[in-house]
Amino acid sequence: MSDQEAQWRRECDVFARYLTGEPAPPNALRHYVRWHQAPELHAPSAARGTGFDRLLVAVGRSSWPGLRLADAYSGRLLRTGLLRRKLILVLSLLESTAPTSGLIDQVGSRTKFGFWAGMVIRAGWSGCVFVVSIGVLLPLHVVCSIADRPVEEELR
Amino acid sequence: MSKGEVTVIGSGASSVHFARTALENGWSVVMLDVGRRKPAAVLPDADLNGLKTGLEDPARYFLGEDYGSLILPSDQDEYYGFPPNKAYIFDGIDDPPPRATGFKPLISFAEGGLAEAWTGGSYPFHDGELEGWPICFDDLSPAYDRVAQRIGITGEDDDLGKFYPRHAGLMPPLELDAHARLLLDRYSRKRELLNKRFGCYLGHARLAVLSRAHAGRPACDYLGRCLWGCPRGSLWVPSIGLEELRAQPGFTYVPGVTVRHFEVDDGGRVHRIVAVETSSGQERSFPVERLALGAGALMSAHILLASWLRAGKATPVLDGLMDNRQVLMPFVNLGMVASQFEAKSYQYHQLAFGLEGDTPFDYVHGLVTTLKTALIHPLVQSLPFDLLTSLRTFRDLHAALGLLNVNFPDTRRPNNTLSMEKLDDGGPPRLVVRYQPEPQEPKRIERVVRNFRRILRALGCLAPKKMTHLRPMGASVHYAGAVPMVETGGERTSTPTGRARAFENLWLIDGLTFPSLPAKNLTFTLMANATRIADLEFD
Ligand SMILES: Cc1cc2nc3c(=O)[nH]c(=O)nc-3n(C[C@H](O)[C@H](O)[C@H](O)COP(=O)(O)OP(=O)(O)OC[C@H]3O[C@@H](n4cnc5c(N)ncnc54)[C@H](O)[C@@H]3O)c2cc1C
Ligand code: SF4
Repeated sequence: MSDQEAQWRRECDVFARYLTGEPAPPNALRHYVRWHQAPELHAPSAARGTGFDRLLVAVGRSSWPGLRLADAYSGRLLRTGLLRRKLILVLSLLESTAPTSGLIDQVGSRTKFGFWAGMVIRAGWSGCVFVVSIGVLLPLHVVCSIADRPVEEELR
Repeated sequence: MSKGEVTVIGSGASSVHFARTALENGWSVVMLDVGRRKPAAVLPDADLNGLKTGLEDPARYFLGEDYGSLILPSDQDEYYGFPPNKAYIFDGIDDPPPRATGFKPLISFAEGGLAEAWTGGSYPFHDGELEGWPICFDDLSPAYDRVAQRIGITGEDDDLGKFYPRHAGLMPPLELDAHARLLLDRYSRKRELLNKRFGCYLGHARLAVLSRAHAGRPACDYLGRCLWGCPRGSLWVPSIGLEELRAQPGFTYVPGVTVRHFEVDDGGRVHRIVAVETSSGQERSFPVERLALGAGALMSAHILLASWLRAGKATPVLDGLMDNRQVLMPFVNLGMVASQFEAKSYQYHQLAFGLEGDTPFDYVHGLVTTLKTALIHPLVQSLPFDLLTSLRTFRDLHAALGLLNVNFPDTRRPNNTLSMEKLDDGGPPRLVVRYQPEPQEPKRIERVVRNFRRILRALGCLAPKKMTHLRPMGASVHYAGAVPMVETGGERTSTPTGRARAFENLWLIDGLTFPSLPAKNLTFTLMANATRIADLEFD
């Protein structure tokens, strides 16, 4: 297995644990690698990204808190970015494959009150994480955008 | 002994019922079809979760070899896509696809045609909806009975009975899931208000799905796999009808041929069909005595126009193409949050709304699908949070989500045309589709959508305005018009019994001859009309 393949497998596993608390099933790992290896299967831009996109993915891959921040940031400010695309790919693989599909299908709250209380807490918490993510990641985003510009201009 | 031979083009819903009736009446039938074959059903007894555990490569089954069912951000155009194992239904042919303006045509070259992917909604038209047709419900009624008895239709004579004229062979309805039950229960408590204030009625959908065993097919077992194709044959699709035909003496099926045009003799009779083998492109011709064109409204128009063009007619134009405008209204039923969704239930619409209009023809038809086993990643990503929060929220909302699909009627108008254009490469000509909605459409849609939002609120549901989605014309795939049946008319019309006025031995057996298009899904009427034509002209 190449280093690159090992990294994709690790990435898929980290993302799966983040979304479901469980490791990625072998079927999901295999498809995650296959999707990355086969650029003809998606739009050329889908698996690449800007420098900041790649940085966000690396932050996400590094640890759970890193991924939490990177997800919060991209969930609001980079909704079509590389990290989000990879997370959604993992979600689609997890929902198609047992046993993670069962976890995704399972309702979380037991009561309607629990749902509404959970909603308030979740929305509040997600807002707080987003604020922190801005503090940490926005400066990096600005720096990366400036650094990326000459390359983009050259490409154009 | 056979009374004679009739050649049918296509194996869709219209053609299989035409062919079956002609066979029953003593004729022999040759059916020419592109006829792409469906893949064999996998693990036919497994429910949906059984597929996820039992298949060797479930991700490939659900997302597709080329990840065609993976919806990434910015790919999102519609709320759902077709599952990979149904991709064959929409595979094209080598000939150039239509060039369309204001219309998104969907064409099938599959064995069984478009209805291999249908959701089974089977609704008869009443006299108010048939206004402007040269026939009335009584003319169609025996054919509705016959089709219903062949395919099996479930439903109930409930509040919607006022919009659905009676026909024979109605089976008891399927079991509703908890979400649908709650909606119906709330409706029964608010019935008076909804009936009086909005002219709104809710009831069981009419579905071509068996609630008890019938004609050698088993009853629905609530496997929850409908979206991926019912492996039991409980949900009727035309390929089931085709299988039955193939077992009959007097029936010949010729798949793998794309009909290009037909040729006419000096007496104005069709005498030869020119086709190509779909695999090799090699030309083949078939002599014909009588021709029934059932290639779906768009492809039938294509064949008709190409034949006219070959005969040296000035560039012909057919007008009056119709389709039902659809508006999708996703909603959340607050009474269902934090409930577990029922994977083991019929997956498509279980309930239907009827909304009275100013005239019976203006009736608006709504289909209610409660969300169960469709892939959820396209929906999760549309929530306005990070993905983790969106997923956790979605899990609690899953059973509470629903989709109301609102269907509007359409009429024939001169601007909506089908024509042919010759291409520079000297190859076969291309169909050109042009569609313009009527100017008053936006106002009408706005009024109806506003009312539906209030109706849903009365039933305890929220339908966010931002998520309401106007589908492009063509997306409903209810194509009709262009060669209307009229009592008297010119060569671009047909007789009330489907005979093309331009050619003595040509019958148009699909939606091409509908003089108007009510809001209700048309396929039950397509099948009944094809049966009626065969009964009257091939007795
Ligand atoms: C997702 C989906 C859901 C739907 N749900 C409903 C519903 O719930 N209720 C409802 O009433 N309707 C529904 N419909 C619409 C319904 O499927 C169509 O109205 C119906 O299939 C039309 O049948 P048809 O026989 O007229 O034509 P088609 O289904 O288009 O069949 C055409 C046939 O002709 C053949 N053919 C085409 N061109 C050629 C050629 N050149 N040479 C040889 N053969 C050719 C094809 O192979 C095919 O067999 C749905 C459609 C879709 C796509
Ligand atoms: S629920 Fe759907 S897939 Fe299952 S048996 Fe019924 S119609 Fe077929």
